Amino acid sequence: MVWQFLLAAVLGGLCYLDRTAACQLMLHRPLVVATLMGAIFGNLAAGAQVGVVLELFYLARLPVGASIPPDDTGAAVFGGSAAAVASSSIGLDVASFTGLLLLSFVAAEAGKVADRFVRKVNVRIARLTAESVDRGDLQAVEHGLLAGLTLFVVTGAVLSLVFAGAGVAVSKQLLPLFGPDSRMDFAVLLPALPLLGAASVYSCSRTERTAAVFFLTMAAVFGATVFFRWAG
Amino acid sequence: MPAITTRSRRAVWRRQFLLQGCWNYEGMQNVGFAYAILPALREFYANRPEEALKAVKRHLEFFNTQPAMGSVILGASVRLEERVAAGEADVRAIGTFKVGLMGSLGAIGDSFFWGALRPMASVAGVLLAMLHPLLGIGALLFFYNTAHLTLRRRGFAAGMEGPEGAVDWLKREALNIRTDDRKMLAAILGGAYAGLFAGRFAGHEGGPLHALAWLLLAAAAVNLFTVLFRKAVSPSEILSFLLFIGVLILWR
Amino acid sequence: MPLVLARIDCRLIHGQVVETWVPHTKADTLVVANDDLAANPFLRSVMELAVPKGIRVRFCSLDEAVSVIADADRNGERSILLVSSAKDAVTLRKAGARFDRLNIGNLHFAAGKVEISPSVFFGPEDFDALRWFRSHGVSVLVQGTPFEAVKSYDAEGE
Repeated sequence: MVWQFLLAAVLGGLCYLDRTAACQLMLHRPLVVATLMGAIFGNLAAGAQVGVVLELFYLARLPVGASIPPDDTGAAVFGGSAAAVASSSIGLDVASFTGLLLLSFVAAEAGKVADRFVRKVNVRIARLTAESVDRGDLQAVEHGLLAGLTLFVVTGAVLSLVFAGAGVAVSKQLLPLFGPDSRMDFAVLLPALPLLGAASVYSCSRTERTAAVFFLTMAAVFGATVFFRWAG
Repeated sequence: MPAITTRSRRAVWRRQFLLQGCWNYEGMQNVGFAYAILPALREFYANRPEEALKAVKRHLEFFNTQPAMGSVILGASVRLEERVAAGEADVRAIGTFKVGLMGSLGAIGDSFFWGALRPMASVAGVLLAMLHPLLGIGALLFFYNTAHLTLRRRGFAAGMEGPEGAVDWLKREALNIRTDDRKMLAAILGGAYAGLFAGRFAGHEGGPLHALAWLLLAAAAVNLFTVLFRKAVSPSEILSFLLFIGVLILWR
Repeated sequence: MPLVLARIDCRLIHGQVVETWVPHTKADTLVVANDDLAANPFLRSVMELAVPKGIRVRFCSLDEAVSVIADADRNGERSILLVSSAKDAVTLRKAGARFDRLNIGNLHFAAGKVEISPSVFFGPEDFDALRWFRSHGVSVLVQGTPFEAVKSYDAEGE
């Protein structure tokens, strides 16, 4: 387990770096991160299953200007590691799946607070950089940037460690407390969750032309899915 | 004054990927911008330390734009600094240009990258991830980054032709039209995603009427969430409300 | 239609306005009242590229602003008014622009300014403007995007 957490911290830290500080290649997206965490904690497929739903939750919250969106990378670290630990040989049960997705928002909001903190500490780094440049030290710019990057990656690694730890703890301690009956009732909430993600996509892609297209496609794919199941 | 060497040009190009490396509330991308343009400044003001210092300081002023669109401003700023160092242009032109463009380019980039390309790539990725997770991840990264890296490369090259070149390129690239196209794709794929999950949950039993009721309920739910989002309700708030209901169910 | 939003934002049109406030307020027009921009066709042409299709943008100097807003009003447009400083907002309000709520999105840091929110910094003249608005029945709300918490400075007597 120690190795798994170490790996989660290192790779999680790198994914976090992609989120703001470096490159923005989308390695920080929940689909990638949840699958990765699933693989680290022993079940890639279970992690991906969570990632498929988490990916879309916060899409409509854009990182514009000083506005910081909830940390869906953190939500994915939590969800992916928890799903892998909670799943058995037959996969992840529906109630655990629902519970983990619902709980993931705590990680998303906690990660956002940490993100704000980093960007406030960076104000000091930026000021120190400017002061050093005033004194004639051009290299201070490079040092300042390195300091900022270090802060981002260390915070990312710590958050990954904490959220992975929380995920494993929830799966091992919290989920087993509930019996099979109450779990089945709990799972009635599941259908709302992918629809929440779909609504996020719809919100950001909404223009006059796209509104009808979204719902027509939805109806067509729904019809096909239901029909094939009846036929099969 | 010779034109910028390939070596410095490449260094600036590589460093643009760290534009947000020291993102802070006060100067936002200021340290990142100064860091990225530094190799060029060192070359232009090689034997003039005083002027080099002034140049670095003017790039430590507040700066913020969409990170990928920063490449355009960075390229054009390199060209402007080159002109200033050669005594062909006024220093103030650099500040005016950066401040004038960062908001507009930020808006263009936010709409294209965050509002259209990212949702499109995300939803394409999750749909394919249902076939195989690695296929989904590959698709997400491929769809996003082909457009992302191409625009960075072209934008930087256009910027290097100077401010006029940068703006001509922006007009040619017609990002607002491409934004609309990506939004249309995202809407189609998002609709497919909603339909697929709603169909899965519709259950085996029940006839066409039962299925139709499910579809209408699902569409109403999507609509309700969308209205809530527009009224600035956060997805986290919706999730916590659902969790509250879940807890009530468990306690019952 | 009266103004759906009056906003001070030193960056005028940018991502927060286009991607969050426009859909939130269902606006179809942006009125940008700024003397520098009105005098600089180059910057205007770049800013126009940032405006989504279906949204009309009207650039004007501070002097023309009131009549431009009135014109949009007669046209039945839902407009967002954008100015770049608190001083400009006071000028417009004195000239007769009607708004009872004023949103402040971004006012960048400069030496000697006080932090109000992570993206809003006030200098002495901003505080003067704030006082003026309070005594003239205008509520001032500091809020970058509709998703953020509001910090409000209510008008006196409310």
